[in-house]
Amino acid sequence: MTNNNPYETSESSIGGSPDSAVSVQNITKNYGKQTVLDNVSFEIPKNSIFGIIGPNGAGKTTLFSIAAGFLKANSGSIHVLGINVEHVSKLMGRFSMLPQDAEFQAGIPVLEQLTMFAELNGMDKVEARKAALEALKIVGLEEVAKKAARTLSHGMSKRVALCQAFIGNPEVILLDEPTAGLDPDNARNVRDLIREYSKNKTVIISSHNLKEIQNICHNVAILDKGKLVENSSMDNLVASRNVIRVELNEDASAEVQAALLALDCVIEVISTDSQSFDLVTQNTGRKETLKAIYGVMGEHDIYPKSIQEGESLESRFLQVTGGKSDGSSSS
Amino acid sequence: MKQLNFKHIRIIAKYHMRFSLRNGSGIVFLLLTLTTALIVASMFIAPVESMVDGLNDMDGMETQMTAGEMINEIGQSEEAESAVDWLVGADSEGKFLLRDKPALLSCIMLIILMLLPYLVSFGAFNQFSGDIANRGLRFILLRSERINIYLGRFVGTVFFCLITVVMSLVLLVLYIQFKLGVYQGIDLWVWGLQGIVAFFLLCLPFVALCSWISGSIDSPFGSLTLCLLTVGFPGLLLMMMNIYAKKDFFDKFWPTGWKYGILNSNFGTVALSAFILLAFTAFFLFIGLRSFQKRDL
Repeated sequence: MTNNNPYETSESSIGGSPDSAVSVQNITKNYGKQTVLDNVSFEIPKNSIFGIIGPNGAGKTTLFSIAAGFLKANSGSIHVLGINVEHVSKLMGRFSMLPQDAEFQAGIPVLEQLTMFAELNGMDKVEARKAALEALKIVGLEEVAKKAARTLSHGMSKRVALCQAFIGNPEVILLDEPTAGLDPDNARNVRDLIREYSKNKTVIISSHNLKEIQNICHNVAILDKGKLVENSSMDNLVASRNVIRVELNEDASAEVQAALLALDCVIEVISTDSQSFDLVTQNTGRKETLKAIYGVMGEHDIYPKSIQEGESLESRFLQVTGGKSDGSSSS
Repeated sequence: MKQLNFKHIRIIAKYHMRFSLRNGSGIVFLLLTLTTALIVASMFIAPVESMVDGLNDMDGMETQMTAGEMINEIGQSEEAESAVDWLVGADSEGKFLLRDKPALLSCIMLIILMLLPYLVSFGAFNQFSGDIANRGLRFILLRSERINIYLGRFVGTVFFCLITVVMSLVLLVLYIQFKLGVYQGIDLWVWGLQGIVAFFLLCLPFVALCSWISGSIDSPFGSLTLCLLTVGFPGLLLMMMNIYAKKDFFDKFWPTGWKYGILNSNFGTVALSAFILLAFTAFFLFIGLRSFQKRDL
């Protein structure tokens, strides 16, 4: 379906799977000759926290922007709660977003701006003001209600932007880089807020912080160069292979890695950086496998800083996006 | 048109008016228009006042006229009538505007009508461009259809222009009434009311034009520059074409060509001018809305 004039018909406004909160169907977006999204399709289940990750320029923000109706796709469609996002007002109050880098009107008090958003969500003025104040309370910023947006710090602005996404208890929320640019304390507060207020909601998060995505999300999709390269539940993704991550206090020599690879229980050694590597192992006796690994390292007089069972999202991400630890470097 | 939501248009218009006033651009437009109106008025009154004062100061020369009476006298001269006929581009309108109507108010309104498109640019250039640049528009885009956002901000700007125009004319009429006291109060107010209609109708196409420009450009400065150029360029071109016989013909292809029509003595001309200005407004709105709906924001 092309979107030359998306406002002409209403038949296209209904679609997507009934079990999905969001249905992305064959989305392609070009900027001139450059294809930013290439025929991307996936479904986001209802009441889940869904992560979208990818390297810079993978198309995450573009996908979010199309989903929110900021950008027009060259082809394909996105349905939220069964409604085509081209008809966004039909989702009034049920769908919200934290846009990346969007700024509030500098000279206008925060409460007034939030009240306007709530009124557009369908509330009357009194109700809207109350909802705006409640949303500010959620993010712990009631005291800035009457302050102009220009007086807020970056962290405060981000939390106010997050609070506008929670106004009116929406069913589907898009959060584009919710913790980007925040100090660790503010980032943790935002993560806690997301966890707390995502009950019975579908929250879709894009982030560069893979640990954050792994900790918060139930499902994850990985975009790379505009293509969907992975779409799975988090459990499946990180437990899909038997992986043991080894972190050392010194550089991992090729000799040690070769010795580990020579073990029957080890299938592959994947370097993640100079002092750590992942071991892909056979699906047999974990105890024996760990014993053998410790044995080899003891023989080489090497003592690991940490040994972690299970694949991290980061190593999986690097593999599927062709990062430096994509398997080709295994010894 | 199915996405049209009048409640949303009302909300967006209300907040746009309020926000533009508090963000400063609205204040600039309001003060600029009021100041311009008063400067134009004083340009007419001040020289005559000083001339009358000068005559009174001369030994044995007590003038029989007040400044207001002298202005009225000058306004009703054949030279003044010819000048107004030339400005308006109609042979008999000078007599109507200067003799049948309060001459000073007519002259001030004619001058302000020339400047109004430029003044409107200052009030309408930042309907969208600033919010597109800082992506603030995205907070609203998810809550309402683009048609409602576009029309809401247009309506908000138009109402702000109406308030500014009413304030300017009320200020002018009060200034003339209390400063000179030569016109019948009722004549002055009725003519001022028609001036409000003329000012307002001339504002409409230029607000719509600025909506189109502002919705197409991501920089407020770029938008203001282009608004001023677009508003002014056809006028300059037509002034240059004044040497050609077909100037009056080409003049009609731009809203400024109809600006004096609302103050015409003939009701048919008034109605036609109003219709044409509304048609220009609809045309600019249509093109601007189409472009706004299709573009990436």
